[in-house]
Amino acid sequence: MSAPDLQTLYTTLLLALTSTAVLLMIAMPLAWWLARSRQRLVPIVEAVVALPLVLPPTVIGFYLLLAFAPDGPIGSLSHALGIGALAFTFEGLVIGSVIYSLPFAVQPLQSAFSTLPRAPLEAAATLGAGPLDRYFSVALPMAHRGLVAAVVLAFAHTIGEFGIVLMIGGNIPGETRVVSVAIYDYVEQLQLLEAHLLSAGTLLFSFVSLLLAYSLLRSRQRPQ
Amino acid sequence: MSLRFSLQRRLDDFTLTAAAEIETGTVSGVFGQSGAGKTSLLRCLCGLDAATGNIWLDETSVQTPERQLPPHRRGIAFVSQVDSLLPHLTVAGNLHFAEKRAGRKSQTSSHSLATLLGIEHLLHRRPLDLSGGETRRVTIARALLSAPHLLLLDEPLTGLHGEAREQLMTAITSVQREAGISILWVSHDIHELAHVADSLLVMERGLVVSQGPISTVLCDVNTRLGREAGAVWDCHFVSEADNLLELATDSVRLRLPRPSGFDARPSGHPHRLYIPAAAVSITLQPAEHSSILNILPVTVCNIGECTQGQALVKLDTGAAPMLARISEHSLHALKLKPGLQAWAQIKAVSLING
Repeated sequence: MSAPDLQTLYTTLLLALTSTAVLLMIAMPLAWWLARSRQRLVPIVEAVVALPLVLPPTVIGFYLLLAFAPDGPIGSLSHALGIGALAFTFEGLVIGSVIYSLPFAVQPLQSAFSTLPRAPLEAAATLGAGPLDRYFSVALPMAHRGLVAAVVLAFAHTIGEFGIVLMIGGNIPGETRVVSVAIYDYVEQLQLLEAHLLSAGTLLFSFVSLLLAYSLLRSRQRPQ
Repeated sequence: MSLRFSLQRRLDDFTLTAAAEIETGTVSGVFGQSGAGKTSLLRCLCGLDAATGNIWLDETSVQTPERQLPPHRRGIAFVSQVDSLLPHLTVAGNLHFAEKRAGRKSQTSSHSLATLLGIEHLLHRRPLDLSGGETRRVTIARALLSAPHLLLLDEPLTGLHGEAREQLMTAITSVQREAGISILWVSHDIHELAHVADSLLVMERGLVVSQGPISTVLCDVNTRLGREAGAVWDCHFVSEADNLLELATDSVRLRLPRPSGFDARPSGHPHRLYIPAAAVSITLQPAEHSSILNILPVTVCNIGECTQGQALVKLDTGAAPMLARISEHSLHALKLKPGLQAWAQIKAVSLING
């Protein structure tokens, strides 16, 4: 594998890891709130979170490009904060990935939280555990399957995304070029061997990641 | 430390309106039929359900109309009817969870609690691998390790039978005595409460209709307990002969068939007896050659109102009082009135605390 390909792989993995970490920080409290709250705002937020599931990635990419423009809402903010332009940067890609993969991180967690039995959480409260303590020491461990599913799906989805990274990343080698776009380029230029190497590598990596995740879930399921 | 509360909460069919005062270090039974609001009362007390009103633990306000402490700051542990063990932790992990979060040191160590409740051999098990009785014992041990000021038990013996039931009842009461903790024990089984409780709250459609020492509440001629009415006597073991046990209060001796599984006790060992009103009949002359083991001279104290052709008659035995449930017809035929000397024939006595 060539050095530029390795660089592409590195960018892809870094993007997936960063996006997954950011996604978890957003999804963990958001999914808990969506699962537990009875506010009228809940269905509206649920619909917004689920939008990337139905929208073509190009639609999100297009609006993100507009928002990243120097006079756009996100662009003007990033300029004001001294971060500079976001379009065609790694940071911009992370924002795009997070928005695009949000439902894949939120929905498994929300579904796991909403099916948690009430009694252990209530018992923890009467035993002296405060809300944050209950969340981390009762709810999250009990919803671990949802958490693992959220991590796997968010990570895998970021690795596999194409349309949105092409629109807002710009395919800059060493900066924003990711595997999915590189494969597309190779195929377009009829460099099938290179395309094959990257594709097979991605396939193998994705399979091993999923295998590890499901093995982990299975071992935790067994009585200890 | 005493518990005082006055709470209101709107439920589906009625409003829970409960007020009571409970002494520290005692077991108070909460009795009522299904749907009387017993569980709701417990949930309001520990803060899991919102209610208006006041709760005081000694001089500390747990809840006032202006300020309500959240459940984790009340120091009131709740053992619900459903399994509430943390499934991702072992039994030891569950016990440690409570111990770590206890606001003060538990009155009883986790080791001695595990011994008292018979769960030492379960410490490394997962909650999913426990039987119903084991789960209940671990849940109660966990609640006690949180060093609560008050322990709320919601039907703790449901689903247990025979020996398991007896064992858990005895274990809880011995832990309660050792830790000096107050317990509010909900049940719809009056025998269970007669076994464990010092005082009783009777609930009906969200209202506390009667409260006081259990012997007084159960032995009230106008009680709303229906067929559960009766006398609870604290007595001591005297002797055993011919498969009959002899027990005595200060002035009355009773004999009863030896229950199966009854172990020999030293003379003077305390016991509690429950004499249901329906098992007591009244005669004006002492019966001779009767199969009834206990026939006591009594004086009629007072007579309750007749309902559905029956009335409760309170009888003074010279020691603790007892109730007899008789028909309205017999009431008139025997011309019973307060002060009349008669004989009480006790057909059945339950040894409820062995």
